[in-house]
Amino acid sequence: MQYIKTTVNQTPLHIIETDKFKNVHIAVRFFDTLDPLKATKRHILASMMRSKTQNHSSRKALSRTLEGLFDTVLNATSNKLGMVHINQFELSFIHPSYADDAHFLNDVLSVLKDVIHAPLLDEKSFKEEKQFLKDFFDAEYSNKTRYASKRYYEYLFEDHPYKVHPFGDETLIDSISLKDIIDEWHHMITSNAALISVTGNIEVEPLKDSLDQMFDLSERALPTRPFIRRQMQVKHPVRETMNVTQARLFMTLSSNIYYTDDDYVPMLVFNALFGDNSEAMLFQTIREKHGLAYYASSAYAPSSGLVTVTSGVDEANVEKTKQLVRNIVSMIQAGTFDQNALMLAKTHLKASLKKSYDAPRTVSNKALRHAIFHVPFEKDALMQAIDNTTKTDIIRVANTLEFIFTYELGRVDNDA
Amino acid sequence: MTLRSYEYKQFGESFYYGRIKDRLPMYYIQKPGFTKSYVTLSLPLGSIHRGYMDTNGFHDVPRGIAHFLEHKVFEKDGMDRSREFSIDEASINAFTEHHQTTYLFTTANHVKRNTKRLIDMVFRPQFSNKGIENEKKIITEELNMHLDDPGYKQYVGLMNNLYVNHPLKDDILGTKEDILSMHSDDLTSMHEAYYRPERAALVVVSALDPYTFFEELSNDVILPPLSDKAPKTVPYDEPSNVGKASEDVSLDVRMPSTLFGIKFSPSQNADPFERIKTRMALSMWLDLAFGRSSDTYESLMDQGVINDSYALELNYTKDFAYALIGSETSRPAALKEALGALLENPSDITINEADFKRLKRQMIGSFIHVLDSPENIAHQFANYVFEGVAYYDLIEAARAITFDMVVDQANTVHPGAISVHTILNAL
Repeated sequence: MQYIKTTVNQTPLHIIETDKFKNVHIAVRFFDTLDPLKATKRHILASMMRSKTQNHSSRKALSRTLEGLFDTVLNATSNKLGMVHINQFELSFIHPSYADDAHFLNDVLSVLKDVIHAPLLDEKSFKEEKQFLKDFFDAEYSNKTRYASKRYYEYLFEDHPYKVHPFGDETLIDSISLKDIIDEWHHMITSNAALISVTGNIEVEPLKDSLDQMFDLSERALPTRPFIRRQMQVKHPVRETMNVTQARLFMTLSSNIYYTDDDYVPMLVFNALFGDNSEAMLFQTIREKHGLAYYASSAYAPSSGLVTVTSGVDEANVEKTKQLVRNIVSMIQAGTFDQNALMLAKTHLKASLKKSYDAPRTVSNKALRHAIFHVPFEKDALMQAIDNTTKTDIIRVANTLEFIFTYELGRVDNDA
Repeated sequence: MTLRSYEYKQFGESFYYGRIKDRLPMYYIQKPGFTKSYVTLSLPLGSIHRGYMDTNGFHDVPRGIAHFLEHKVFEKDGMDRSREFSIDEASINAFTEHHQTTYLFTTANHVKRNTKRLIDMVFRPQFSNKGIENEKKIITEELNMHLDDPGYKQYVGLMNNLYVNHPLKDDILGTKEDILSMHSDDLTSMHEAYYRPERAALVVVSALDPYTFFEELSNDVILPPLSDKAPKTVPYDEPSNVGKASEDVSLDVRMPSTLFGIKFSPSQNADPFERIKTRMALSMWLDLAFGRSSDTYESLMDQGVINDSYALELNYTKDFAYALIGSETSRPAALKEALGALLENPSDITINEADFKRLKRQMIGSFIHVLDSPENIAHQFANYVFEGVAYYDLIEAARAITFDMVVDQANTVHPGAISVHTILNAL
């Protein structure tokens, strides 16, 4: 696998050249600041760009063109990484050698060019996409696991810039006009930093030539390490109730360890030991030993330094579960875990890392993180750092952790 | 037995077939350049299988036993065997469907050792009463989690209405009472009846040399002895009509949703290739009539009765077949009326040959997309081997389908075989 960094009309182009894939994946990403109104506009914009172009004046027309191009897959969505909002346009298509059509690559790239440079931003799709976004936020209420997660993050980040959802703010949807969207598109194309990633068995120079003719994007510098170092304070616990069968529990631990800090890799190992897989202490204790839950896990977010524990348990077992979580953290802080558990955590982490280069989309996301957060693309340095992590390192990072927040979504009291 | 190889030069793919110790069918797909190996072991035991047979006759068992057994297979004498896989750099998981159960692991190392471990775990578990009692609590919480998901409840509710006697009407997990009633004798007997190497399918997707892998695995693995228990194969008296044509349920949601189910009679052609062609022809008709590039989809969008959650799905095996079409909608009554009218007169839905040809190109592309994913290859293989077809043969099947075959599928939609389930906003 060869990683080539180049440019197309001053826009960074990262090519991951490999002959093991039979499909090619292209991602065009636009970066802007994370702001509720901007995020709302940008998400509506991305959705509208995905639905129609000047050469494909209806959803049906664009769908049919993609089907005819051997099921070329086009996705457009909004994400965030730290303080950056990303509008992402992805195209996955079969390698041209399987298409038996000399114009195939050109036809596929033309669709992508149309989507980005010639979208059809009309009143009809504007109304539809605004409604779809409202529907999305309404639907978050339905699945109670998803709703609990939404409420958790709303409370956790209520006074933090990370509170902005990548799809924006549902209360701002109605305030946005079609002109706002058209202006946002113009701003995105002319002023946003952009990154193009290509993964697959593709010749670099012909690809560059094709993209040179098709893309003329901004030459702004990419955002660098866009996360906020902010030690979060302890917040009052929150318990909400609704008509649920199972209580949902979220517990937050705060560290001060971020991407590329000296203790970044020990934190990854800590999280593997603590809760990010089925051999970790949370799963083994809460589910396997005590039978309290179907799931119990933790996730470490290196852009905020936070670790979130999540589980679904019977209402009667919430307090017991919380205590078990605290006990596990205390044990790790005191060093009461054996070398076998640490070895297992490191083995799991390294195995996941090794396997992560086998999917075009995952490879593309690695290129994104490398470009923005400067984490290495190749795995060797990270594998070595995992191997070098000691029990002392784990105890040290565990002792930076402080419980700062708990959120519960429980049953309405009179139904308990 | 030695390995037989099958080449598909057009796609640069090949797979190998052999029987481990002349008993366990193995399908090996070599993927050079991939670090990850993906291995599945599937058994023809799903939620629809409700008993076993022995010398004393038929024995019924609680609903949800296939899923419970899937959880318990990981136990050996009180210990969870997942750890052994993790120590050897593998991640293991499993899932139960209506018609089969699949165990799987992924790894970047020790493929043969982990495969031997998987075979041993699946065919030679050791349940304990303590482990069973603990699992009852875990699976109860799994069910509780699902009961807070309106989408899950809608699916289970629709299937309960679509089918009258067939066990498809029941939740894969069973009810809480079923879960609490599980007993080691039933688990052991169902395991002996259905978890037979001869009836299973091992699918390996890896960069390793298949011949060396097959030989070493065959030498090392220990398979269970033969059993006097057998699967229960009593056919269900399932009428062509549904049990209930329509149901509205009020739940704590903000966005209603409508889901249609269509019951089909699967092809009983003795030739598996012909059965797959019929399945694919139906899938193509559904795509052309109701898919995202169809006039129907555009019309429903223009009417404002669907949003971008709209989905279409076909589940088709030799034992059952049904399609689902639905969407979240702020206008459930209008969607019910609009789709209902189309399904009452399916032959009136216009599809043309140009669309059909375009769809064939799409199917070829979709097939090639799968080839970059060891997981997808393994799961597609596992889906089709129990139907008697290798995944790579789908391309030939697709090429053999005619436009007339697809158009004829409209005649397989019977008005009495349709049920619609709507979730309304209770607030």
